[in-house]
Amino acid sequence: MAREQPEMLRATFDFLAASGTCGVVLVDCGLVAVERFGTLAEVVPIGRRITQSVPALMDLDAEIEAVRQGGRPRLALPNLNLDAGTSGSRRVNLALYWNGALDRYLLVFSEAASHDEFEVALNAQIRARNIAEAEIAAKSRQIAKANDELVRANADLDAFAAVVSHDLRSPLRRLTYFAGEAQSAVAQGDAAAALDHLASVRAQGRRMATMLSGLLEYARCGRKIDAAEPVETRDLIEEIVAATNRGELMEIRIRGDWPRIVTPVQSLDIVLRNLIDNAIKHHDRAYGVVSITGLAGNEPAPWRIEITDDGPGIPLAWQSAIFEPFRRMAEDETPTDGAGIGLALVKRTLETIGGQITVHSDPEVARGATFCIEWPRILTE
Amino acid sequence: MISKKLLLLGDIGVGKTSLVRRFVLDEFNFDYRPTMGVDIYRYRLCDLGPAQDEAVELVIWDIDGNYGLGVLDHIYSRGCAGALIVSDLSRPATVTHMLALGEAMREKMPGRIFSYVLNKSDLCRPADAALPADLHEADPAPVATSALSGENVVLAFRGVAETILRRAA
Repeated sequence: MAREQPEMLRATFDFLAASGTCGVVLVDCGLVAVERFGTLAEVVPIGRRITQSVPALMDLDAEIEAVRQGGRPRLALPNLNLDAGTSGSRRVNLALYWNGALDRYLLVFSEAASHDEFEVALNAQIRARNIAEAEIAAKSRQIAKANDELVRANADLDAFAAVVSHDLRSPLRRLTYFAGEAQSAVAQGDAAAALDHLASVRAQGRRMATMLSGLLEYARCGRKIDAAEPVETRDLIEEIVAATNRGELMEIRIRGDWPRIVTPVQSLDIVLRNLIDNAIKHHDRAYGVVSITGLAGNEPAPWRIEITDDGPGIPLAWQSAIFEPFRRMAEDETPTDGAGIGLALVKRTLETIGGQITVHSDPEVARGATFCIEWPRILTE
Repeated sequence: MISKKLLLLGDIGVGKTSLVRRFVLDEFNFDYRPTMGVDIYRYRLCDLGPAQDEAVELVIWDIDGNYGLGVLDHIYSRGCAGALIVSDLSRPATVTHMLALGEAMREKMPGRIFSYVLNKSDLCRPADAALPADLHEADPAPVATSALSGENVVLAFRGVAETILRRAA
């Protein structure tokens, strides 16, 4: 060992001279510190394993062994503040070498270069820019959203004006007519006819109330998207089907992929429930089959759902009008329950969450209709 | 007492240093100074485990946020027992990066424990943030914290320490 000492010291001083080293610790093969030089080395206690006493080397036994075996020339851990929790701690570069002649590791501490003031300033600017960009992006999103809402509000106003001026006038006109007839019947002393006319007045009143409720529901829907939450779509569709009001001979089949998705469950419920109700209510027979098929595909492609019935079908001329409030193909009085708002609700809900609906039917060729929904996987604000 | 190395990862400026300083020193500094390289903190956590009779010394590596996904290949990340992956609730892009880092960690360092932390809840509540849809399915579920107020900071560190101890047992 006496002969090795000068060589060991020379190697040590070489490191000190070469890189502004402020401390060197000699470490044996068992990773125990045996000797130290310089002020920075004082953080390493003699007689203890460096992987225990130097936190930066904790659990790096394999990497340290690789240095000794020649698998890597050195283990370098630059720019460390070894005890940031205390004041006065210095930032150091730490490097571990193997010196085969000495049969020792050299654990070398050097002061981290002071060039990092520039880097600190640069990083601070990067962060400030990132935050500013995020704020601009958030503001832009808010403005775009407000603009969309304005456009939509204007379209809603036009639509409601049309509905109120046209659709609600029809039952009002009839109501006024029957009220006049009832008045005439009373004047003529025909109590039975008067009662008939008053019953019609009540029926028209009820229809108007139903239409107004539907209109309110339509106005409310789509104002905002409910919070997204994980939904087992198979459970949801089974619940909806179980609650469907239908005759015993009307069969509903659920097929395909029903994944677990994160989505506003209320919106999905509105869309599926109304489409299934629509298929049953507008069926012209007491028996039939409604098939509901989920087509998951690969993310981020939208999840597709097809609802197919074997009812009378929808003439091509009606296929866009059915999605407007209060539009019924026959324009008749009471062919079905409801306000004639179901498909309009479906379309509006889908538009709100960024989905789509299309209908495929040609009664001149075949019975039945298929409604195809594209339900987005990723919801836009 | 056993010691475990815990990484603090996440984009630059998400509040990693503020979180660890709130946890270790119970302080908050309004002046931002980015971390260069690594700041290493040590903290003894007691009363852990089912009987609350276990302890661990966390050696917390607060790592410069400039490394991106490459941090997992860096020597700084070797030998870690787990990580807190931090994002800034007021900057949705950092949440997306946090999830990507979590997925990369699952792939490159299988078996290591990590938790997601949504920091700066004092600036922006999770319900008001434009967060990515896949955050709702994130595993493990994220913890919303505020280094400024201290909300959930201890919970986040204790949570990951408990899991590391359970895994080590």
